[in-house]
Parts: sequence; structure tokens; C-alpha cells
Amino acid sequence: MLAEKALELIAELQRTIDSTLGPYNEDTARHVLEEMKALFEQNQKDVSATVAGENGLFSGVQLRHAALERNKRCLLAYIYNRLQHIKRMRWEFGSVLPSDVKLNLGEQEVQWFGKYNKLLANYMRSIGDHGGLDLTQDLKPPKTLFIEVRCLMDHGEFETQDGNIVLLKKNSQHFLLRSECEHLIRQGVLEHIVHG
Amino acid sequence: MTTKLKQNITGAFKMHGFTLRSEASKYLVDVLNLINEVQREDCLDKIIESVQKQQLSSTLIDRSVCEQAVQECNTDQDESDDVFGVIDAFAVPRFTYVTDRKKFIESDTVGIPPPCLHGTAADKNRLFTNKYTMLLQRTQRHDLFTPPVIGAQMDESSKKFQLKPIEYLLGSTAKLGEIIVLGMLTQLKEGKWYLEDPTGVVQIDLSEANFQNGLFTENCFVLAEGWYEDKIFHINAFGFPPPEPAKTTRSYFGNINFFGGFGNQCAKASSKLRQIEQDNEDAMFVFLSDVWLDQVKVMEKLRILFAGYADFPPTCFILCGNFLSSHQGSQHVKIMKECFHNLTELICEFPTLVESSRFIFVPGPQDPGPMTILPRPPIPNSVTEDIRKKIPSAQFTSNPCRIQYCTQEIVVFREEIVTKMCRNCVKFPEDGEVPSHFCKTIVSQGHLCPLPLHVCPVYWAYDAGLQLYPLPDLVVCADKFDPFHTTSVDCTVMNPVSNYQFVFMNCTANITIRLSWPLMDLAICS
Repeated sequence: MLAEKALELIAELQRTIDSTLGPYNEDTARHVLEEMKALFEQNQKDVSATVAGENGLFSGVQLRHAALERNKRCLLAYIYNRLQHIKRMRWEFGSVLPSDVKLNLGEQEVQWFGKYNKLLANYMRSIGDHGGLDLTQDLKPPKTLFIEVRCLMDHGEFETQDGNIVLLKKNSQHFLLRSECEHLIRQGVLEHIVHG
Repeated sequence: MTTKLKQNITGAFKMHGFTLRSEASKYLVDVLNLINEVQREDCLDKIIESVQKQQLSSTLIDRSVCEQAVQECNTDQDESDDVFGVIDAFAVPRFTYVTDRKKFIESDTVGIPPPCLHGTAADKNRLFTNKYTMLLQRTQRHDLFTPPVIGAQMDESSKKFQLKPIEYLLGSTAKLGEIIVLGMLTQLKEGKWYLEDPTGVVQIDLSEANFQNGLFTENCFVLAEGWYEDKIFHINAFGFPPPEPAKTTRSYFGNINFFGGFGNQCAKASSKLRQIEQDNEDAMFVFLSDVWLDQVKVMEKLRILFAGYADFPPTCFILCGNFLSSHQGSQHVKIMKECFHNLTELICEFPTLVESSRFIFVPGPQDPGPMTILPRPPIPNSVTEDIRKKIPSAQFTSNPCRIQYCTQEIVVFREEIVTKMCRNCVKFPEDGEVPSHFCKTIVSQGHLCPLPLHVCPVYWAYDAGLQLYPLPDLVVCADKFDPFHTTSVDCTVMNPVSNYQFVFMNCTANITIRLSWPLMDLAICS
């Protein structure tokens, strides 16, 4: 059936939409492009035959054209949704992707991620005062500015923005600025102690 | 002042999503304090950019990463180091094809232990499976084997085939016709040929086989077409897996640096290097093989050669072994030292060469060191101390070795490989055009040495050094065989040797011109 392979891509996308990003399916994408090329060539041939005076080819051309359009739409949807996913990951994981996620990206997607990263960083540095405003922090409004945290592993010295050095030893507890230790919590170095 | 700078630095890194360790920020403050305030911002941006280029595993940046980044920024201005590189066969990056992800991933990342000289059984296993998976993915991507495109008009010329695993044959009881299998040719029992792939083994009948071009040796991978009945696969036609130009390989796998050398990106992608290459159209490489330094005549001819080149020093002289005409027993090393000493004195007579040319020495089978096992380490330092001290550009490397010049990739291999392959052929080609058959074989096998391990032993874990995938621009097989020079799928294979003939190569146009030095008589024969 025409445009079946393109639908496969969409189905794959749908299956992984809520979980981690699946590997970029280069083979199928290339196959769809091949199919589009074949359809286009046949259309070209039929159109030139029609121009030359032959009749009855028009419906075929229209069918193929519809298939072409559908293929194109599916491919674009596949790529666009993956990019959205990658963008989301920039906000979740920060600028360095976990290696298993990174291996699932295609070559161009890695490049895109790098460029997006740069754009975002440049924008964040240009707004606010004192060297920028980190938008990726506090994705939800914070309840308190300082939080109490417990170290889960030896992490060595950690320097806060005001220049103090805190030694993060296993099982030690600290009262730190939320904005500074949030990424450490995400990495699993620290644990937020919730009282009550 | 310092605290403000520090805040500035940590702030900038934070915006890029990085956190600095305290020793790293201290280091950066020290570095940036030396730079005046106007340029500071730009410098910081540059450093961050090069940090991003590195392979990071976490957002936490420590001092070593910063040091590397700063170093990279400093050397950015003069990229002369990247123009020319010699890559030891033991230092070649190792990649494994991961079928699930359809990508080549560095072997360390996949969890394969670092290579050791005397590998484990798993290393031997990987030596074969790596070759198989590489060829399989390459073959499946070829036009003949991709699934047919729906909607395309079928005609005879675009007939599609499907590769079957050997498992498929073994599992069937009926007669199967028109089957194509990719497998390795082996001789499990004396005189009987088998085809092997990771799923099984099947005996083959070669009596009616129609051989295509190439030297079909034992342990090479073949595409076999034929019919299967009663546990025997009757071959109609025998061919090699279709080769793939390096360009196509790169379009699938991006600019991974398969070749080795500088950086994570392959040299082909660098427009800077391409520019340098085009600006230096006169770059020359001189390949000499079997340079018998103990023969007076050879030294005389070398003098003529060096004198001739003294006014136009070539980029590089590549001298291949054996460096002595015969094996001298226990005196071998001593005589060799003396010979290298003489050579040093000879080269030092031409200061222009010492200054602007490089000398690369590739060991031959008889030179000191472990002999017949490939890849072969360089000649021991104790023998070559003298020459390395007096000629700083002299470099002793392994056999085979890889040379990168701007965007050109060159592989040099010194071994009697053509002869060995002819001797181990299943069927020697009747037309006798060995060079083109040989070239086709190594290009489609993607390997320098498609021979059984008992004929041509290989350090299992270091097999990556012998692989030719993606295909380099030039493969120099220094062999006693008659000189030849053939090109297929953008890869030139050549043999420079025939008693004091030598090859001169213009790199930019990738043209090889063979000259027999007019003053050299061919009286000395090996």
C-alpha cells in the first residue's frame, strides 16, 4: 500500500511519545524518500504524456500526488515531534544528555541540539542583570528560597555563588539556596529533606 | 575584582547548563586574569564552546576539562599539527556496529574491555563477528538488497534480492532455489568447503560455481548464489559483497573519526584542512620499499635521490622495510644500528630535508621485533635512538600504519600479501590480472588481510588497525610483487616496489606517477 512505511514511522513515534526517545529510524526514513522519488518520477512522466495529448492519466497522477503529500506530512511530523522531544529534554536534563539517550539521536539531531543549546544560553545571558537569568531553573514556582538537603554520596567541595565552600560529604546535611543545589538533586547527589 | 570575575565565569557556565567545580573555576580565573577586559568575554565564549565539543558525561566540569578546553583555544590559531598525522595501528579507534541503533559506537562505550596483546576467546570471536556485521549492514544497504519501493515500476534491471541467513537453509527440508547468502568461506574438514555465518554452517558444492572477479581466499566473506538440497548448498555464482564509497558511508554515519588522529570529527569534514591542502598543491610523498641499507649501491642511490630532492623537499619520505638485505643472525641488531647511523649521516648532509621533510619508517617482516603477527610494532627504540635524536622529524611506526595529510587518508602496509593471497586462493583467476583482482578483494572485504589466522596471524584485539572502513583514499601495499596501481570506488591501491623503483605522489589531485629513477640501474635483484 502506498505511504505505508511513512505510517510506520508515525506509529513508532506514538509508541515512544511518553517514554524516552527511540532511536532515529534512518532506514525507514530513507525508504520513504525513495518511494517519494519513484512516485514523483512517474508523475513527471505521466504529466508530460498528458501535455503531449494523451488522455486518462489524470486520476493516477492525483492518487500519486496525494500519496506524496501524505508521505511528506508523515516525515515532517516524525522529525518535528522528535525535535520537540529533544527540546524538552534540554529543559529536563540540562545541556549534557545521558549517553544512552544521545546514542538514539541521529547525526543531524545532535547538531540541532547543540545549536539549540547555544541559542538558549545566549538568550538567557542577554536577559536579566548580573550576567543573565537561568530560565531552566524553577520550572514550577518555588515554595522557599532555601531548602534543607542531605548528601547521598561523597561529592567533594561545592562552591556556592557567594564564594563559600561547602564540603559535600555523605550523610551530611546542609541548608542551601534552592537554585544552586537543584541540579545536584536532579543528578541524585543530594536529597531534599521534607519535614512533616 | 577576582570575585566579580569568578561570578561572571560561573554565571556564564551556568547559563550553558554547566556547573564548575571549585578548582576548575579557580583555574579559569587565573587564566582569564591574564587577558585584558575587552577580550575576556570573547575568550570565555570560546572556552565554553570548546567545552561543549568535548565528550562530557555530566554537567559538572572539573579542572582537566577546562585545561583541555583552554589548550584547544590556544592552539586554535595554528592548526599545523592537524595537517599531518601518523597513526599507529595500535592506536586506531575501535568501533562496534550496534544493530539495534544502526550505528557505529566506540567499543569502550559498548562495554568491550580495552584491547590487550594476547586477547581472550571473546576477542577472537569479535574479530569475525565485527567483520561480518560491518559487511552485512553495508550489503543490506546496497540497491540490490534494499526492499522494493512501493509504487515504482518493476523492470528486469531493478531486480531485488533478499539475503538469507544460513539458519534458513538448515531449517528447510525441501529444495530451495535462488538463494543468496552472505557468509565466510571456511574449510572445516580437509578438502571440503563450508559457508559460515553467526547462525550456522553449511557445506557447499563448488563444482559448478561461476567465480566473479577477485581472489577468493579461505576466511574471506562472499555472497553466494545457488540452490539448496540435502544439506548441501550448490553454488551457481560466487561474488564479493559490493563495496561502498567512503562518501556513502559518511552520509550514513556522519563525520565520526573512524581513521584515528586528531579530534572527534574526521578530517574530511574540515574546510580549513581542505583549504590548506588546496593551497599546497605541490605537496609530495615519496614511497620507498625494501630499502636495504646494508647495500652500498642502495646508499649511493639514496644519496642521488636526496640530492635531487634537496632543493624541493617533499612533505614526507616513507621508507618501508626490510632495512637489511638478509637476516644476519645474532649480529642483526648491531648491523642495523650501524646502517641507521650511516643513513642519519647521509640525511644530515641535506639540511633542507632534515628541516622540512618528514621521514617515516615502516618495519618489514624481517626487521627486529616480533615477526609474523600483525599489526607489527615499530622497530625497537634502542635500535633507532641515534636517528631520532639527530633527525627530529623521523618517526618509527607500526606495520600497517595510517597517515593523514590534510583531508587525505593513506594506509601503508608492508607485507607479502599479494603472494600470500594468490597462494591461498580457492581458484586462481585465469586471466592473470592479479592487481585488479587483489584491489577488488581488499576493497570489498574492507580489510587488509582476508586470510585465515594460521596463514597470516593477527593480534585479535588489534584487528581494527587492519580494517579499511570507510575506505581510505590510498592504500599502499608494499609487496615484492610487480608494481601496480589500480583504483576502484575512489580508493587507490598501489604497490611501489620493484627493485629501486619508487613512487612519487601528488596528494591534492591524488595522482600517482611512477618514475623509475633514471640513474638507477637495476643490476641488483633480490
